[in-house]
Amino acid sequence: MLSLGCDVGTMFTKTVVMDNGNVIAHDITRNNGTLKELVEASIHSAVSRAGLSLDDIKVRGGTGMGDKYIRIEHANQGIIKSLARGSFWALAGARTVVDLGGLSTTIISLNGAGKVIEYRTSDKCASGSGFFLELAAQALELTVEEMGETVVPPEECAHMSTQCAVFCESEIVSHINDGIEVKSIVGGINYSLGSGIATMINRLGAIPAILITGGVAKSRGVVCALEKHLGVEVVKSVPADHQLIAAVGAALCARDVQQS
Amino acid sequence: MAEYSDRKDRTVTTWWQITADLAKYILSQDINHLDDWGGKEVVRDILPEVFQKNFDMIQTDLINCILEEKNKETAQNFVNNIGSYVDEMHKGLDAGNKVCYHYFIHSIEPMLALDIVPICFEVLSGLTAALYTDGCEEGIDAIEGEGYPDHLCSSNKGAAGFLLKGYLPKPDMFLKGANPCDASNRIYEWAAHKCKVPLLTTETPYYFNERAHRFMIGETRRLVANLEKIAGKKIDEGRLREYVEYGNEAVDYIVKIQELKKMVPCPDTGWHRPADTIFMCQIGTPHGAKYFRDLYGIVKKRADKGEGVVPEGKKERRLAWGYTWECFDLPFFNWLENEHGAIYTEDTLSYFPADVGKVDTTNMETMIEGLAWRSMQMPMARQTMSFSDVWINDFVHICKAFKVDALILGGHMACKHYWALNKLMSDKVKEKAGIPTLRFEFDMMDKRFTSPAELKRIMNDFFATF
Amino acid sequence: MTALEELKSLPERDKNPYIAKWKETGGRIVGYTCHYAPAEIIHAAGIFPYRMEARGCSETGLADVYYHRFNCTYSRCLLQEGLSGKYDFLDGLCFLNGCEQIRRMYEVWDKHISATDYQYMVTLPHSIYDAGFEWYLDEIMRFSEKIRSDFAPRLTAEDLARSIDIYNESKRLVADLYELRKADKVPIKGSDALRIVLAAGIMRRERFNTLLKDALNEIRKADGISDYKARVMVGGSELDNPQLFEMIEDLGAVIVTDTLCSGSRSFQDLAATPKNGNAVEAIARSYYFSNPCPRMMGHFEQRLAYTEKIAKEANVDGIILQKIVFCDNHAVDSTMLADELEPKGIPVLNLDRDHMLSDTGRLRTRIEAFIERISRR
Repeated sequence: MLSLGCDVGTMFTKTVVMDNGNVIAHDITRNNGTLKELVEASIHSAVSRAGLSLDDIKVRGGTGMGDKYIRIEHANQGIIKSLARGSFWALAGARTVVDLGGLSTTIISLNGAGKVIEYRTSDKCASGSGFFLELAAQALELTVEEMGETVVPPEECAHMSTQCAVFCESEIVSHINDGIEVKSIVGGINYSLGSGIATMINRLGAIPAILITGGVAKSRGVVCALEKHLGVEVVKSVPADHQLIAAVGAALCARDVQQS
Repeated sequence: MAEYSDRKDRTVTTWWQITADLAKYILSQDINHLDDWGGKEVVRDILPEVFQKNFDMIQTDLINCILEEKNKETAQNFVNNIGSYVDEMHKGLDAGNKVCYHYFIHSIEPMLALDIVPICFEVLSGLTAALYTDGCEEGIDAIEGEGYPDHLCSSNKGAAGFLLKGYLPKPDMFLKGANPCDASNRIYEWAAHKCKVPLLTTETPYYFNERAHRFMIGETRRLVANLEKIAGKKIDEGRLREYVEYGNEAVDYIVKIQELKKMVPCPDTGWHRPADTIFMCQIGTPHGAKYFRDLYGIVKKRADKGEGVVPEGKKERRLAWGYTWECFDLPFFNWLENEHGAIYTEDTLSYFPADVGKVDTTNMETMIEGLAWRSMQMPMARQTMSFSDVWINDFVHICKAFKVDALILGGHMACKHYWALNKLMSDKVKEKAGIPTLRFEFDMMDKRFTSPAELKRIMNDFFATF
Repeated sequence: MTALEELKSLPERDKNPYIAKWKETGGRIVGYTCHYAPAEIIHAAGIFPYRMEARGCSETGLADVYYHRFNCTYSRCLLQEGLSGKYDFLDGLCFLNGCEQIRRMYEVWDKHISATDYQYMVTLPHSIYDAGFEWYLDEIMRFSEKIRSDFAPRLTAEDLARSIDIYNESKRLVADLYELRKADKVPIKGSDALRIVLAAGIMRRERFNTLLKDALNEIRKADGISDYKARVMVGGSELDNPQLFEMIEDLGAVIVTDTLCSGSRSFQDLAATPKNGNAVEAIARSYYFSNPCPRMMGHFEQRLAYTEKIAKEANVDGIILQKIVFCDNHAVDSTMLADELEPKGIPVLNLDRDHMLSDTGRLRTRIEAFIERISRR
């Protein structure tokens, strides 16, 4: 059975086309421009990559902060529910989901059957998010990908005393002016992000298997730092791009709704 | 048509007065939504002119919410009470009586018996936030503009700013108990200093034992003596008794309503829950007693019929609020009922422990003793004056007794107490009551921090996981 | 190492040798979190009273599991130190309801930090008046009974009187230190004076007194600083780290006095010599009636007068009121003080900071501009 899922996040719009539980095509578009048009384009692009037309797909689900811009039937599946569903699809043994998104971090506790026990969304602050990493990368004149590939042992990390996106920028500038190596600063940023995420996980309890999702999950530097703080390994490989998990969840939720 | 004061120092209370009359007028029409009357724009033009400006200020969603059939009776009660509160206050001001701005959990009976006009500082922020589109934001901005930080509590900031702007009657004194927090203590300190009037204080003991009660009795005596000094007369036992009896009646009904809310389905609507707290500052007045008596009548009628408040066919989901409500968007609680079947059982600011009891009115001494005990048990006083365990255990009890499905840990940004025990509370509730909690940040009186739309999104995401 | 060097270096040393030495001989240590804790009683019971701080704490990941970004960074750092085991050497801990951010730590500490055997709560009224004193006295007496039953069954009135003497001696010596700093040629940097005062909280007072006596002699012989741009007083939130003082002085000012609870305010009022053996009352009185913390209600005028008096006595050119973000007490108090002092011609800088002094660039810019404003040359 064909299904489609679309997740309109704060920084990216993600669409997947699935066939019998496998992702057969996807699209990831940066949210530059009018969301309504952008969402349509993303859906169109994923569908055409699958060699299909939208009419071929009867099951369609949507989720995310911008779900009101998704013009399909089951457009508001709820981001927590979609993440949980997508994570259970990605890893049936997942008990803790850590979603590192554009503007927020979400931690979800699942029971053995993939049902949400409890969750926490990060506070109203851009710290610990993709947006924060972009700001830092800009200040350092690096790409986010370059920052993500930088893994630095804790003892070589520059000390970042703040997790506030606003103060962080001035702290980075101070470090550069003090002649601290860019690599150490990047290490320090990743270390401090990892610490903030670990704290959030510990508020709910770090029950393995811990699955990480979302765009920031692609940053090896942040994930390594997170594991150091947590003292537990997290599951890094999933059967689809980390950024697509919520979109997959939306497709599966829509299927559940339609089947019930 | 009523005449309204155009005195600047009655700006805020006159807003309320007009709103109360306006709401009575609208409620007397046979409509369930402004659209039934042609929509907002049309209604504005057919309203008597004296109401039009005020109508522009009021939140349209609130009007539509109180026009809903299930809310109409509680709405009538709500606006009647606002009207009486302002009328009484203005009468006292016209008579030239002394004015005391006080914290909302203070017993006001001694003030009433001494002809002092009690004006609750937090209600000035809260009720204004509840009624108007711009809430108490003008006040908040005014005080922050003076260099006072945003992390103080909006419940004090709004009123403090109104005071700065000259929108309120001149105070003769401020009255502040040491509870609940440093932020409120400091704003009262600032206000008394700014207005160059005395700051009366009462201490709150840390414990709930005989020693603490004895101490509190002493504090209540000291307060009465201080009030007598300012009022320039001795308190009359008979008059105090009269007000204490009104207070007893109000508390009795509050506890009775609380009992009814344990029923499944819950017979009480959620939209007016913040108002119930706001009107607790009237415990001791005839109109305060009337508010809770009439509210009890409405709830009891529904309870006797076994009726709930969620739309037919919706499963009732029972929520408790581990900190408290927001009051910049009362229709939000109505939306929760209609959209998610979510009813409102209890929160920190409205929960009375069952043993709060009545004040014994035998003589002066027994009344002082009773008022002292009650002031230790008032919502928020009780939870903030003692160890965190008191607050946490109250909620374990609430979650069980009210058959709560989920505990909402929406935390008011300024409340340092709450953020320091939030995690302990969620752990204990999960362990003892086995229910999930939802945590988020908001400002209870300033919608610019977490907007109504954001709140709804948070709740939509939450209920999607059920 | 001279006595002065010993005192100056103690607060920032990695390991406090006095703790290890005391523990080696079976000594007990009880920590306290607030100026209003009756350290003399702990001392009299033969215990090492340790004024708790979170100096050097640079992250709050463990504490933030329980606390939140709306709690001040001092409380979060202190909790972090506890959760990370830095305070495992404490046998007991005396909390006060000083501010809610610190007092709410009682339960977290109780449930999640098992190394501390005994925990106490002493509660202090929020205003200064007779019945309030009775309550506080009662609390202190109960605390002293608990200390007696938990640690020192043979605690006597003489022990208490002796501790009062020792603590009074510290106060006199610290007063001498502050007196010396009033001179035109300032004989010691403010950051070093702060180090000395902080050292008082983390060593036994007998030793502190001996060292300070010698140190004062060294200080008296110093040439003194005279090329400063301005004489500054510092007030505001709890400050357990000389770094901010260093920054101010590196920018050309000299700090000659303060109204900090971790500084001069802990040394202001001598406890009276006990009459009729009632030492506990003498101790309680000295704390309760001392110049109030801004958390006290209805005493702003007194705090204002005190601030003005201290500033005038030390002939300062300006006052820096630093406060930790989310500290409600000092946020309001500092703003009120500035509103009163500025019109009287006393320049005030209100400075927001984190406990761990991040964004030093911003702080430096603001302090520099202030020093320029009040500069003598």
